[in-house]
Amino acid sequence: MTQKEYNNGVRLWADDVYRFAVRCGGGDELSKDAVQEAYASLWERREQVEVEKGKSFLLTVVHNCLMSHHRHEQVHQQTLPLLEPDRVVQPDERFDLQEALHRALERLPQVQREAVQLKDVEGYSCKEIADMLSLTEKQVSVYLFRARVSLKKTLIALGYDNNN
Amino acid sequence: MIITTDNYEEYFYRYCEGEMTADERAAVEAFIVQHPDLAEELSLYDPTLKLVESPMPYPDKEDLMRHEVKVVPLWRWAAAACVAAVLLGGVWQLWPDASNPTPGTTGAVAQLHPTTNEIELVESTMQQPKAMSSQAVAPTLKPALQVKPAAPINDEPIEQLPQYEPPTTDEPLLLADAEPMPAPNQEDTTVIEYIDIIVFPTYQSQVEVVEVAYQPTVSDRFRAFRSRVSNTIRDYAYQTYSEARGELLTRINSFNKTINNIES
Repeated sequence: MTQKEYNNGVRLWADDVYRFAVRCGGGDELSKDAVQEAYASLWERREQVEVEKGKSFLLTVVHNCLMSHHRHEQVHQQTLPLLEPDRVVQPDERFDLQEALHRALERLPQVQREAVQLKDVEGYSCKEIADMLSLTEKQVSVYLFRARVSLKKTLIALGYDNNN
Repeated sequence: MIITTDNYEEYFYRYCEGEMTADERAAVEAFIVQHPDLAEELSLYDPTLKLVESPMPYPDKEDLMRHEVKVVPLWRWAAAACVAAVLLGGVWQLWPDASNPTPGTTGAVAQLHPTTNEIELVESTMQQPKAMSSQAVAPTLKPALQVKPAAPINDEPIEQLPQYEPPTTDEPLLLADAEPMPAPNQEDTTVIEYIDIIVFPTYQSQVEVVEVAYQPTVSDRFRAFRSRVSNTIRDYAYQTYSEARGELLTRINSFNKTINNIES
């Protein structure tokens, strides 16, 4: 990857990589840090990283950043209950399906969240996701299956389904 | 393919995503019949339930960009260095080996004596070759080059230094800009093809000459020349890059004509 290709990669990928970090629990500051670290790492290794692999390289670094941060902070993957006990959704406070989906997604374990983001939004295959998250392809399939079932359960419980 | 209650999820996933052969699908369907409790889970999988995202711009893209760090030379120093190098290069080229003088070269030098400053310098050099030093050369160079002494070190911040006239081109000062040159074939009368002097600002207006590259030959005499130039040129500077460049090109043409005359 040349300097020009790297800079082009900033224009093309920074938004997506940043969104991935935010959606996967990075929050604003940690996500920015993760993006910066990812690009710094890409710059250092630009001679080894091919342009086609640039974005997945960045996403992998962000994933590692988030994981190591969570380990460091002793934030264990504690899945929120699918339904808040006191939460009864009234018809007039319904948000649209995508917003509901995003809220439901926040309740998933981080690895499932990342897998769904990489599959649905970034369009990677299970094999590619496995490489990026240091998992096996089978594990990715399992996480994606569990994630979608959980999401559906949450949506139904909240009075949504995707036919709404 | 053996589906069990421990591994059914990966098969359910591939089943729902339509990634299975007919045989595999039959196996999954047979498994569901045996495990009706898991059938509900399968029915909850909705492959059309896809996450859709809207753009989320990263705010500081420019900070992530990388640009080549370009060392901007102090042009007047660089230019002066080039001029001094060429001038002294002429001295060196035309300076016959003391132990083995070349009659042809000496004659040519004498012939050209009244016309150029280089020759004047050559003459003085030939008269006192062992006295050649920065101190000896400097007085001769100074009027011809319209040089001024280096500014003394002071504590003003670099930002307060005078603005130098920017170069009209990023190209290094190459002799290619001058008249066409004859092919080099005699070591002692080889024309200067290329001189590249790299100067680094060290402290304030002081410069350090790091390297003087000279082609095509690198001989002991060249190394001596280079060392002498390094010691000398730091004391001189042109006011502007273009002024120095013009002067340099004049000197180069003159030098190459001298070489041509010697060879013919």
